[in-house]
Amino acid sequence: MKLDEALDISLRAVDREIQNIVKYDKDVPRSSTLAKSIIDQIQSGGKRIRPLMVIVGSRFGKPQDKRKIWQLAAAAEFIHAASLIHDDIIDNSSLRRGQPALHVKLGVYEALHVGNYMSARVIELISTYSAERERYAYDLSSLVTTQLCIGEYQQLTHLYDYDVTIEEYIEKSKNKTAQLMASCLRIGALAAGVDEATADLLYSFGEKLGISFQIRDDILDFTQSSEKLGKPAGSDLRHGQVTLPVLFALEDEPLAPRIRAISADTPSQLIDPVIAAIQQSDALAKTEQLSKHYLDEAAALIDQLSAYPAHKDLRVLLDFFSGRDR
Amino acid sequence: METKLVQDACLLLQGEISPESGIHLKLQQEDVLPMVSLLDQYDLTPVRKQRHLSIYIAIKLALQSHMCCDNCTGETLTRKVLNGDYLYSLYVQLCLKWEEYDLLTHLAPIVKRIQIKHVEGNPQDTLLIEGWEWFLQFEGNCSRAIQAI
Repeated sequence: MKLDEALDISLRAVDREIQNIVKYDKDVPRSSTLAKSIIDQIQSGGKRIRPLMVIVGSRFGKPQDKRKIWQLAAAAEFIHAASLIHDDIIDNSSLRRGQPALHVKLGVYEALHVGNYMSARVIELISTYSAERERYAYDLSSLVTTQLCIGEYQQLTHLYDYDVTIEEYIEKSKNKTAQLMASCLRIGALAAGVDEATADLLYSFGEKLGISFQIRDDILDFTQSSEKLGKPAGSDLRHGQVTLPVLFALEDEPLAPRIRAISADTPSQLIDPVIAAIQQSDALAKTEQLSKHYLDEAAALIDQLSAYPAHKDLRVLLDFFSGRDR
Repeated sequence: METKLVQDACLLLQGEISPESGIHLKLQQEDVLPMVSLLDQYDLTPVRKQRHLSIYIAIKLALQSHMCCDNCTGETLTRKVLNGDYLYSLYVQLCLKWEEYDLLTHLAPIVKRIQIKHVEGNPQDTLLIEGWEWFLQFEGNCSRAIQAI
């Protein structure tokens, strides 16, 4: 069963709400390149994990205004989608969900500002609706996005740095991926009137799921076929990103010097056998173990929230994150 | 130009920027001159003037960082994209930290419209200073009205 079905949330309704963000912007003509680009981007699909997490968070309280929850959910996806547009520019990725990336269609400058528009539109919406100074709603546009950039800066600083520690890797993963997911649950909960302590527990749960999600993503970079990935296996390492599987592989004494020899100038054919050696080592199993450790910690948090009927939705999220394509 | 105000605002902003970003503020006089002149016309406390100028510089530098991305590649492009993104989110953070909620509510649609103009290929970054002036006028009118009552 799909995540949205398991959570009994209409993905069509989520998508409609996301599209409404641009459709109801009086400053953007519906026939404009900007509106079309965003609608195309939304219609290209996606699991909408982040909006679903906002709605799950809200189920821990009694939302006075359900519309507000859905708007927040849509805003979370807008922030995520904007970050993907900029990620594709930074990574020079030509494809997004099998379609040409936005910067390929429009050009770097235009795509960059489409992403900026999406982030700015979210700030506008939140500032309109947060008349009562509900500062938590701003987390999406301030704390989360600042930390997202910090995660990217950390990644940039540590390119081809084989001395990076596991703690530093986890810190970067929190900033880049986990914080937004964690904030989605927390913001949904606070918007539904949940107390701070419960909202913080939901944040911790989301953070652990997010870290596990990032670790799993880094495993998939080694295990999925190049056709499915749309890029060669081990692409992260080829671009200097020292992910968790590489850190564990560096503990293998014969393998470590071969990995450390990889630099920006190393030709791809010399990297191929090192990638193959990492795939055959026990590094992926160790990485999987750490991912599972975070999922176990998340599961323990569900127990602490068992008084809420909505805790069953956390189990659904946990199962989804545990079962992502291997 | 009020050199001290600019220096203080830069110091304030640099102190708020995470060292991990590697951003070191480098300003041209023409970048801040219009805002300094504008602030001079209004009766703001020195601290508030500094804060407004810091927020303005953050947005201005974010705009500039993304403005010149087209011809860049590799790490230069990455840094320019990230610096712009970081400074845009920092301006929101600063408005919240300094409780400039009304300013944020006022700036949000202006910053958005500036992005729209860039996508349309018709940049109008002067909207920022014009919008700021409108905010200061509005705020001044409100406080005078309250005093009159």
